[in-house]
Amino acid sequence: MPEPLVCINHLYKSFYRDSIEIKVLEDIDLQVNSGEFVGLMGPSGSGKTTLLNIIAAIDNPTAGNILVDGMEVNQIKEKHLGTWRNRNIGFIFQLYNLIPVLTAYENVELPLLLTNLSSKERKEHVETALRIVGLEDRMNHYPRQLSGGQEQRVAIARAFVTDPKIILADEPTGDLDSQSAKEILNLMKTLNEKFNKTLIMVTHDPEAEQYATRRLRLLKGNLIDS
Amino acid sequence: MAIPFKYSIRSLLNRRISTSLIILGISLVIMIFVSMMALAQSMRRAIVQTGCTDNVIIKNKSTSSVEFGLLPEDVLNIIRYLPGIKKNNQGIPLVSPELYNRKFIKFGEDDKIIWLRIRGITPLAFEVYPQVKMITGRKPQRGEVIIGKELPVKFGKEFLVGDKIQFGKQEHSIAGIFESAGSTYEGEIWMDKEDLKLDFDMKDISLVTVKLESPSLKDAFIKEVNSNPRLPTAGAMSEIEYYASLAETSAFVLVMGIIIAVLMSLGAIFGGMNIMYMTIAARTREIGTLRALGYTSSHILTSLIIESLFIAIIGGTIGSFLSIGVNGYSLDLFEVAFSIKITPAVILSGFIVSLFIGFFGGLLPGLSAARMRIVEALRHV
Repeated sequence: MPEPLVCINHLYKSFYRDSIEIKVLEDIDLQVNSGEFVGLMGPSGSGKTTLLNIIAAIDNPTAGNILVDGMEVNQIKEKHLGTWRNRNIGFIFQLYNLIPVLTAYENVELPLLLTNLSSKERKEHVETALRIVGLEDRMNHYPRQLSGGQEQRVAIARAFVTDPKIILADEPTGDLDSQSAKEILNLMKTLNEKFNKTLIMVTHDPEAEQYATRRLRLLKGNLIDS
Repeated sequence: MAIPFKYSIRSLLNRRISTSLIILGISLVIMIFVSMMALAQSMRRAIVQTGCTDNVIIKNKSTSSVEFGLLPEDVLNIIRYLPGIKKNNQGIPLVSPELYNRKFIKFGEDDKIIWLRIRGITPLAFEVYPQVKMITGRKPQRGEVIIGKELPVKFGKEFLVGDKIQFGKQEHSIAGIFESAGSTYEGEIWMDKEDLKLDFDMKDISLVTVKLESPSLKDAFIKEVNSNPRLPTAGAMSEIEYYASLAETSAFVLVMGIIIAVLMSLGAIFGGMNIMYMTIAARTREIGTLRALGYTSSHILTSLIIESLFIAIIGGTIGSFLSIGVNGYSLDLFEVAFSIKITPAVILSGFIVSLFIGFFGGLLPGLSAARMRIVEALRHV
């Protein structure tokens, strides 16, 4: 049996506010296999985004270890973290987080600029990614010229253009109408089923959770398989 | 690869008003800096160009300037026969006795106060100062004057040959206008030495300028004059050395110019920094996103410094261009008449100052952005 892609053991995370300790995650154990589409639900403040951030090495755990594709993430040196994230993690944010002064093409190309790909190779990757999300005719549009759903599709294209090991989606449909949300979720499902991408999606939306192949709940810092 | 340059440029264009304001501020700073540097350098050049390598000035040794202190005219009887002095075709030693005076006059319908620098000469002066050339008219005779080409600036009017100019006890007819290779003589009025004595009830002379057979004889000649017991009040120095000592005045202008430029640059740096901080605050989430995508703190810092430098380069270019407006402008400052010349070297120094402003204006905000925690940046609305 292949090793899990993500392996989290005894993870704790606390914050300190005015010297008061706030425990966000307590003794989290989680294994995610390659090709899974995990839906993570929980009330506001339950630590869902914090868990995603720790997997992505954007935040550090207070205790515990995280292995992603066999690499102990919290042991990676600060100066190598950017490169590791670029190669292994794709992000989809609730508010899309596209760079407003760059076109759709240029936004999707951004993570590729950190690789060794030639200009021609980057072009091929970007055009393919935008074709997959159905926006090949909008590649020269700026985010302000796109609808919310289109912006999120560009963000999705940016998230998988480097062929990362995992795609992390934090409330990807939180800012969309129901029709656009469905389009986005279907796209994510396509990435999972057709391209075998591993996805971990945080959501409040029970309908969105239905698209996941595995559903988890985060309650008061504890993870429950639902 | 760094963050694309187009991201920096487009981000600047996205905030046109604040970008324009910084550019305007920097361009004003650079314009003033370049103008001040050019003014000081032009003044210095005019002073330094006034000296000839084979001329020696003999003046009263107790004063630093020929304006103060006199020599008895009978020193000529000794000086003319000193060894090493060049002779003209008639065998006359090229020794120019001169009387130097500075007077103010009231000129024009509004009684504008003008300081005149007047030099009383003999015909030998034109052989001792071969760089003095008539542009129009001729050399003066008794009762006439010639004026340097910078003088019209002082009076605020053009003069023609035959015009009259009032100073001293009478009106003086202008016989000609001269130039002098950019030297300080171009701000003077030259007239016959005896006329000047009569006009202002002066006696004796202010200085003697001597042309030597060769510049190599300068040291020996100066030593001869300074140690000659028959010239107890006389002190000799090379003409270049004399005007170099006057150039210390230009050093004062240069220092003042630098102080003003530094203070203004600091203002531009802080102003630019303030706007960069505001820009970064507005782009916090963008910065967090770029970090999440894998761009490092160094990438962020470099991108922001590039933005700051780009603004500064544009401001510096505009400022240098604006300073060209003073190129050729004539001034008479601290007894030195000169035209301001904006040289490539001065423009380059302005450009360097603009880079300095750009770099330090972007450094602290850039560091602050580079050190942002990704989690907090992504949460920023």
